[in-house]
Amino acid sequence: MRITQNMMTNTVVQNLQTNLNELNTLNDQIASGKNFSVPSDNPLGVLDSMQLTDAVNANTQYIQNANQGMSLLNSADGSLGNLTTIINRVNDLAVQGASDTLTTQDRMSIAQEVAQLQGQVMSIANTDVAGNYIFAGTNNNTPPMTSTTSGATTTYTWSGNSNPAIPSTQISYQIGANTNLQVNVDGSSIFGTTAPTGATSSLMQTMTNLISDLQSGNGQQISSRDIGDIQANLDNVLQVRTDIGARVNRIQSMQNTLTGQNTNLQELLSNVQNVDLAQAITQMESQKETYTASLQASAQILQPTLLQFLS
Amino acid sequence: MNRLNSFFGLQIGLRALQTNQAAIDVTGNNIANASTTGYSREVVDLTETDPYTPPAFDAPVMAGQMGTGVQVAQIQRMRDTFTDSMYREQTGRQNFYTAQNDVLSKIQAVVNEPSSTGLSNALQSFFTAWQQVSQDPSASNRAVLAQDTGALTDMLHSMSSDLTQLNTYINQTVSANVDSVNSLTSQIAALNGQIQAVEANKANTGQNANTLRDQRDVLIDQLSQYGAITVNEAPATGMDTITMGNMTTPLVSGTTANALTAATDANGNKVVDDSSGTQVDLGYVSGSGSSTDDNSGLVQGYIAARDGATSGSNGSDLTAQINNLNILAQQLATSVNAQQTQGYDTSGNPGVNFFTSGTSPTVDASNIELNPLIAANTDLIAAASSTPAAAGDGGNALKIANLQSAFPAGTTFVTGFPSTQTFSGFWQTSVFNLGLAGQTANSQETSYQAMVSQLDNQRQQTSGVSNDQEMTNLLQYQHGYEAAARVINTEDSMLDTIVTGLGVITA
Repeated sequence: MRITQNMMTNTVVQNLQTNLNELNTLNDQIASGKNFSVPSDNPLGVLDSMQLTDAVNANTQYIQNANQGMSLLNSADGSLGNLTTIINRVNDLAVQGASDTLTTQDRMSIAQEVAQLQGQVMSIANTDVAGNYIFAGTNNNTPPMTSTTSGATTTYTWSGNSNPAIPSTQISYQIGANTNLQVNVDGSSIFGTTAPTGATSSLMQTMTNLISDLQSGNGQQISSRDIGDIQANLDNVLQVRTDIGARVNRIQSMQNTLTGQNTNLQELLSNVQNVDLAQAITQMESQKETYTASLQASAQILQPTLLQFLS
Repeated sequence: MNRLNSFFGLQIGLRALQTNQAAIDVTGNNIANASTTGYSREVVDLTETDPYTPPAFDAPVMAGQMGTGVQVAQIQRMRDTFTDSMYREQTGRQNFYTAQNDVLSKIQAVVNEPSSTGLSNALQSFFTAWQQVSQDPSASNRAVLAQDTGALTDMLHSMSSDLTQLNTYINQTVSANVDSVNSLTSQIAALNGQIQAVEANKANTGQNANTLRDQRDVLIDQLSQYGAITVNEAPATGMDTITMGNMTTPLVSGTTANALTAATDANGNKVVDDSSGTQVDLGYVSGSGSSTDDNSGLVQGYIAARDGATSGSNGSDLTAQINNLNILAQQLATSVNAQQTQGYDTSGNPGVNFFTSGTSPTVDASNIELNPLIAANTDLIAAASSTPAAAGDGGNALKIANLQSAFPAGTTFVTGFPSTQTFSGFWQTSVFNLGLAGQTANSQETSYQAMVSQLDNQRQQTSGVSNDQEMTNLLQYQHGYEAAARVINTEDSMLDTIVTGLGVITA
């Protein structure tokens, strides 16, 4: 094979270019910390990383939604816990008021306490989180319960629209790719005008009845009707709380799944797109070595021709 | 018995001097052009001159024949024409992928993935904003949705316009390349004429058009960047006939160059027509045995990267990218609008279209925009699922947010959008295909580049100037020259003996 100086120069230039290129790639990877910067560097890796990034972002948002839903349900449950205490107190007062031994004066003061408790029930019904009334269904920008007082009697009006049969009154959060979960509580069944199963009247009406029975001294009516109604309404609240508990459980398990998934996804993502620094730096060192060696060799090769040895 | 002329030997010496002088000149020329692009090493062919005596009836009777010295028969350039043709074929293929790579890397720059500021991210933000509206359809969440929608459509607009500009760039490049081809072919045709003139009577004059041929080879090398060329040299005239791609009329024939034109096709894109107005494929490699083998040359590289009409495009050409973007925009508008119009705005009126397309009748990536009515009044976002709309009713917004992960039954799918895909999945597939095509073009370019430089080295084995060799030749011819001078010197002193020494009586 016939070799010329030009051929050697070309080969040297090409090899130096190749070595420098490899060095540049490794440098890029180490500086950016990423295995690739454009899709053509590694199409499959880029596809993986895009899919994983997407999943991580979506999951992060789902987790945030779940957290918010959780706090809504928790505050509803807390409020209903208070409501349970109030109803229990009303029950005690009713039992006390049903007794024949009480004076009218005593009954009147019990009635007053019940009326006060009724006011507390109203404030529970109007619980809000960041300006949104949580028991109001989707009419949640105005307090769902209002009261008007004329003389000694106070009338309560319920304007919440929540109704399990009507989807547009439900507020649902997306807490998974294909999972929406209702996060508001059916306040109408507790605070509305419909009597729950086993009761003859709604909670507010029952309390109003109790007050008027106490005022009129109708102990018979209290024990035969009002106490039963109070019990049935309490059962109803407890049932709603059980339902909340079930939903909280569901969100919790979803949160656990999402958080676990996110940890795994992030690890996968980092495996796909992040450079293994130890490996990259080792490679760069060895590539540097190669480059230096090729530079030295080139300097040796390119110098001599016959010309130097002719006098 | 006849004798040779006394001056016979002087003539031999003179010829030797002249011949060595010529050889030294050729060597000098080689050394001078060692680094000249396209220069082919030249070698002097030395032959003996005609002997004495020539055969004839009246030839003198003597021992013979006697050699009469040396002469330069011809000055030959060393060239490996077979490697030339291989070099040109591979150069064509390399440049096809250079063009593809150029376009694909520019598309990738526009696509801007993977990144935290790409379309993927804009889509995610868009659907997150819908989720937020579904949780609380307040004015502030509606405003965020309008903002994020603006960011998404702005991104689609700028990508679409960048890709359209890239299309213009490709068309300009195709035109420029066609101009270059025409300029090269007219130069080659002119050189064909000059070469014929020089070599017309070669047998008698010993004239080789070495320099002109070198020039022509350089031009043909350059020409091979633009397409798949076939070169045939007519032995009688030394003129090259050149065809490119699937042309039926030669590009260069004798002293005629048939100019190509950059014509405009039905889509307003540049294509190549031959001199008779027939559209041609300059990248078609004839004789490769495959009717789809048209992966050669810059021109076809750019056309394929634009139209994807050839086997080398991998379905991820510029047109496909623009189409994908348009399909994505259309599907987004179709699905979101379909759901939006099923919901109700804050006043309880049915939703208006969420996305509109300005004055254009169909939505695409360049014109998709948030309905100006909604942009002016975000209350028109149909978050509620029933009328009259309750303040907290985000049921319809939730359905739109759900579009991110799945399409509801009965969805109308735009042609080209697979019903099993999601928006981000569709986009990811598109980016993946682009990356795959880019990677292929990249590795193909690198491997053809290696092949081309390998073949160039192979050509250099024959044509390249080796200084070592030239210096050795120089020494050889120099010594030849000195020896010839010594011969003349000897003849001279012999003549001197006869002329001044014979018959002189010295006192």
